[in-house]
Amino acid sequence: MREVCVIGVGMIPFGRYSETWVEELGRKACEVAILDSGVRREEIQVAYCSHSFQGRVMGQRILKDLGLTGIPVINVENACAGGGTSFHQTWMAIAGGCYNVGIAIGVEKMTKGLIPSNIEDLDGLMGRTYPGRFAMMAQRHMYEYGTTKEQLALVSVKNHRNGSLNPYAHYQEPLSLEGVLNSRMVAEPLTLYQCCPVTDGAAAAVLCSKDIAKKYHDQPIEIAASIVTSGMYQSISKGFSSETELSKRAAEKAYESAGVDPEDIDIAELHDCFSIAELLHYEELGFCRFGESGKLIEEGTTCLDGRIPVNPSGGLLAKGHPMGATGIAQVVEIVWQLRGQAGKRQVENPKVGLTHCVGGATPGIGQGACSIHILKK
Amino acid sequence: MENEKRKMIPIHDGLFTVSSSAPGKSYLIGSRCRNCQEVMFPQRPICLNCFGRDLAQVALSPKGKLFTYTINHQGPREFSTPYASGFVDLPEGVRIYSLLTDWEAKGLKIGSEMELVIEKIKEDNEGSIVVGYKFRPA
Repeated sequence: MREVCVIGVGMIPFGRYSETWVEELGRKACEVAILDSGVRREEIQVAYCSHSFQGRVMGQRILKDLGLTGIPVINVENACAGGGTSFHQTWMAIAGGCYNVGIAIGVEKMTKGLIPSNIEDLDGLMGRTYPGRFAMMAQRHMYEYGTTKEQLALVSVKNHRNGSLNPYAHYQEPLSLEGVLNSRMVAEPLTLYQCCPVTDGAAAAVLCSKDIAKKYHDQPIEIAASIVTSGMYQSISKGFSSETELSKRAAEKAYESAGVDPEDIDIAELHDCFSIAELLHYEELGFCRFGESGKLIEEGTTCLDGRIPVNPSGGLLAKGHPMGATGIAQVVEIVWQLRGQAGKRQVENPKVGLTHCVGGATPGIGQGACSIHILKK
Repeated sequence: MENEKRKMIPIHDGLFTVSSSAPGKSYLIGSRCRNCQEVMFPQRPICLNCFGRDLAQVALSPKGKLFTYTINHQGPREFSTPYASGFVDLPEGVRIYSLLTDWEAKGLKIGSEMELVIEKIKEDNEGSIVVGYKFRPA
């Protein structure tokens, strides 16, 4: 396997683009990423494009408007981990030696309201919603560990504060603890501002093999680990709930692959689709022990100036969650942070960053997919 | 009276049986692997644990313990809010997602005893009554 670097990143400011075609959102993100990378358009040999709701051959529909045609384009669907998956596929194509330069794209225009369950998902037919699902995890966490509503809400306060410093975030207004707690109840204990908003967006990253990276960019970012895996069947007698097992297992593989420990991570973008999700991920990824995530957020450890800043971009809660784009947008943020280009939300000299997506609720295996990347400067 | 004329349809085939002569004797139908004894719900053609292909149909216990729950204040169009849902652990080692009902009086508490009821889940587009399983505080 060859080593692979990210040499160019781009995204559009996330928000609502009801009047704009999805092709244009994707085209703009790709254009920025290609220009940032320094590669000529003709040098890009392969493209992977993730989305969940945009119809057939999405990648081709974007790339044709850049005149980037006649190359293999593979369209990827992996729910909320789609972006992480298309990035992983691009990495794999280059690491495996099939191609030298590729582009990973993620794009989504969301429709208003709750994300629908799959039509043949029995739990979905019986009223299980995504907020409801995470609310149940929150209730269990509160029961087992004494986690409080205030601790949950603090995740949203932190991420909206970070989002207020990010011109690419959908919501750029800070929120108070009371504002989060007093917003409309969606699924107890999760209030509206503890649920990610409905957001459109696009992001892209240009990758190449490490041996040629410096030719294009003077600050190539190394991909130290790229993991995609899926939920595992577990009967309840086997310990962990399948929810927690998936991200924990993916993280362990990522740390082993990169040769680092959780303590070595300087900055992270995690899948905070709901406030409780971020707390659970602190534990699964080893940022703290199980049951201690409430304390971690309360102590400010994951704030921009804390020991391990989490979701400096504002995360899904403030930046937004256009499903197929999220995983790539996480990489964009980490690359900017490692290069020192993150503006007002710049963390002090991070060297190792992590991105994490998980999603695709599926009865029997918990979540359908999880992606983790570790990036190094 | 109008209800009686309406068509009743199960939310999915093979999930449960209803005894009209003995109410309270309804049960969920699962599978037990004859090779590894794993019990699963809903019924499966293949054992998820050991890939065994010889599975027996089993009646699951109508009682279980509430693992977690929520009160939903926003949901799919066919559901009027608020409604409760949760996961119930059955003694066979199966954790089942389910709607919860009749909880307003006793409230819901993690770890408490729950019992199965078969009742209306929602109405479909044709006005038929869609029937499924729910759990309520025992």
